[in-house]
Amino acid sequence: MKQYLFPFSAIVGQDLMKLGLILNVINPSISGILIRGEKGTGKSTVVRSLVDILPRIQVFIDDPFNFSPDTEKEFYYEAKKIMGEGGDEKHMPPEIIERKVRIVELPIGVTEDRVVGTLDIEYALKKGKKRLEPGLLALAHRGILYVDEINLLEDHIVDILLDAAAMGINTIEREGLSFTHPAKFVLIGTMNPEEGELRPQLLDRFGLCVEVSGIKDPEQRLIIMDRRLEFEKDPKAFCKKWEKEQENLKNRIQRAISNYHKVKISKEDKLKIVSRCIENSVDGHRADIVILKAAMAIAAYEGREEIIPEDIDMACKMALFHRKRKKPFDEPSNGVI
Amino acid sequence: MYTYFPFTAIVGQKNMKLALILALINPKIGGVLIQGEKGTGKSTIVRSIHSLLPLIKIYILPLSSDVDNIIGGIDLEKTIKSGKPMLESGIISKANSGILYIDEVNLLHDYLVETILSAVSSGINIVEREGISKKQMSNFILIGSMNPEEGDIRPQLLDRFGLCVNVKGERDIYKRVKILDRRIMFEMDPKGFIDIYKTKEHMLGRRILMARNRLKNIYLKKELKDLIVKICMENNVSGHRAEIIMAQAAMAYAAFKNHKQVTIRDINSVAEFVLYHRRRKIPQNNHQDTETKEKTGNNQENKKNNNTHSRPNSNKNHLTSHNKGEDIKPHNSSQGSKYKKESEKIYEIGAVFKTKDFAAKKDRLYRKGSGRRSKTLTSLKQGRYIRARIGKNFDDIAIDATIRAAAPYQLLRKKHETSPIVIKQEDIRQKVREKKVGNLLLFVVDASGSMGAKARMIATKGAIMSLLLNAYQKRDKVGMITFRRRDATLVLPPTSSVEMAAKLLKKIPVGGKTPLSHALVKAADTARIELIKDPSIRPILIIITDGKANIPLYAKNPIDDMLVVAQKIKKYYQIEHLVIDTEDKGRINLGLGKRLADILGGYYFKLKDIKADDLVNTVREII
Repeated sequence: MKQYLFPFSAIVGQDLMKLGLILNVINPSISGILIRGEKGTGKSTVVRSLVDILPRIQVFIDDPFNFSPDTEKEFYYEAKKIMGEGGDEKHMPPEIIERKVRIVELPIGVTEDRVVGTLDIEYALKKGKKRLEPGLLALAHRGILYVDEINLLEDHIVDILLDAAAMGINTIEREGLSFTHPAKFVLIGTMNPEEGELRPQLLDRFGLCVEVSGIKDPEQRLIIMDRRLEFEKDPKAFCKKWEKEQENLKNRIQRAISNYHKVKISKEDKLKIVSRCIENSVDGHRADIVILKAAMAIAAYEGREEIIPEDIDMACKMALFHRKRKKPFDEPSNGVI
Repeated sequence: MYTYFPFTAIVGQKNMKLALILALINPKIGGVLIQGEKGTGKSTIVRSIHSLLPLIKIYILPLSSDVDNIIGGIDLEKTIKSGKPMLESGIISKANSGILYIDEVNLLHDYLVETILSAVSSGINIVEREGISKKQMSNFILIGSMNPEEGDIRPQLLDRFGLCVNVKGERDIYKRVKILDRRIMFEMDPKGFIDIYKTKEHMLGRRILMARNRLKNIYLKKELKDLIVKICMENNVSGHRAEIIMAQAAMAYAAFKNHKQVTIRDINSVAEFVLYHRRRKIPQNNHQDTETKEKTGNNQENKKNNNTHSRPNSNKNHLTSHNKGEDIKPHNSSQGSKYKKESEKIYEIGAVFKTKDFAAKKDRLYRKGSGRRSKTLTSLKQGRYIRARIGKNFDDIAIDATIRAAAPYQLLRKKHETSPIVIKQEDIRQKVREKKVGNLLLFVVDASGSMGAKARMIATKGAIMSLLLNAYQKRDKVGMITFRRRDATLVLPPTSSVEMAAKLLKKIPVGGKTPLSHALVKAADTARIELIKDPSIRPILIIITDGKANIPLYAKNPIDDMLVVAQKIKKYYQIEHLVIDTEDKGRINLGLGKRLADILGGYYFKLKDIKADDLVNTVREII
């Protein structure tokens, strides 16, 4: 039975959150988005509904690590060898298929070995041989890693995430097995700030951060309610109704992805971005890079080939939100622009 | 394969680059620790060494490593096949003659840190595991990076790193644009970008290798050795490591600059890297006049004349005999005095929300040696699996360790049985888990009219604020109860959101009577509920009051009432207490705070006597 998800394009309002997510789909190296907000503002609904509009990527048919057939072929063979399925693969080209970018969800109670990957115990017991069992970081490679309630994640799991996010690689070190593989993922986190803040180091790993709150406008609220009720009554029909919108959005994103590299960057753009960062005294240089990328992605999404000042403003809004605060207890504020 | 950002394409960050180059030239320096804010290219630069010197292997230590990965352990497959314990090398021995890089070194597990430390210091990796006993060479360059915001590194480990640099983001607008440019260029076309820097990389790499060869011919004059000792003494460093490393670093620098012998400038260029993390605070009661100091200094030098190598045995002498502000190098002294000023400011302002100053202070706090997190071994099936031990029951079996333990006997046992792996009772290993103890700091704050005297509340808030900052780093839970008028309110139920507590702290209203009894009951009850939820939590009540209770709960006399309540709490609850007395000296002294603390069996402090520093320390000690 197919499970229907609420269509992304049917979500009312929350434009900044939606844009932030789309920008990350357009350029995954923006490195994720943190969505802060109170309960029931549709944070997780939006993230989960992203699935339907994600682009497609090429992968090896039998590869849990999601290596890119273009650039990471050698990892594929190495993994095969370690997995105990090795042989003369080099003479037998593996089958390559195309599938949608995945969203891998990392539950709060997850254990360390499940995230990093570990030894396949069953196999070890049966065959007396060791074999790898890839972890969630492997599954999320070239995809999206979604952590709901990320502020409640256990400390040692956060450390692992930080490690992987920093390096873009993950190393499975278990029982004398050692395998390092690329693990580049878009990290999406949602949280309710009332239950505690994120550690600064993790916060900084998120390229963008947006705050969502419930919509105040009664008319819009009514639409939200209507659509939700309609969806729950007959998900299939509802999704069918929104199919065209979804298709349009998908195409628009696809176009933005292919046009992204055509966006020109002027010297003024860069100066503007950098002085913004200096004004707001952000730590380090990550913000500069993220803002530039986000501004390019916005331009591409809008079908332009040059950045306009509004793009930078919008990018700053999302990239500086969580980086502006200097002191540990200053509340993050929106007064960026 | 991977592409690495070229070392020479990194803009600015001169110190970080130089420190790494020195460590690469002379492994005897003992590695580099890079401290700095996030996003300053710490890990980028370390990995870029690969592009500089492709032949030197860099091993990155994953934070999720366990002991077996690090020192080595049994090789399962081979052991089962051969029936003999076979060793699988760990990262430490694999990294031999290469680089071991630990990102976020301050987050690495203590137990593992110890293991790596002993290998670094001895150059030998000793494996004693499951019937294997072996020694392996482990000469590697240790490079660590960390963001001090996440908590500090233990002083012992800090000292092991030969050099330490602090990096900050570039503030110059044009340099920043340059950084941005290069990064974007690299990401768009890594190959083309790397090509641009190929010659530069190659030349610097060659220069480093040549300096390596020249190193053994570098001469260090006696006078300069004396100078090094003097610099170290004047900066009040502990032990002799600083001197030795400074000499090694200066020689490396001289080799890099193609000097025949070390010059004063060479020493000056490297001194700060050596001293940065070793400079100690001077104990306050050690003000001696310059004369005696000069004398001891001379003595030292004389001794040095007889004793050519830099190991003065009268080190107790010089540890106690110097002053601040006597540094040879101007930038040292300026740093030192700035430091001093900042920490003094804390006490003055103490109260207002000068969080930045608090942050500066935190750094010092750990160097004093209290940088331990409260960790505990837990018997619950929670927490991180750190190692395995021989098990008594089948509760929390460490399957991996169990199989390892059984591995050597498989050939033998299989003769009798048919299953692929035969595990016997004696093989069973149990998981040893470790969990950070949730400390619950429950603040019980007197907000009655008597606290209204402005200075009191400000000082109180200052104290709480510094504790909050500390709790934030340790990820403790915090809660807050205020009491005024007729009753006590749980304004902040126990939460790990220290920020919420800070926010609330700003808004505490003051005025009204002092329902202390109620506050005590409420606090104990809150702690009790938390204990039910998580039995491993350690509640600590921090009661801030003058003790002048005037709203009783049970008895007629409010003071007696308060004391009786305290007695009961002491008797029935397993809670630790800390009473901070806000009563002013001079006027009629009731000493109620003291009595309360005595009855509760808790710690007692006068608000006036404690500096925020001590308070944090004290609470940490209790924990």
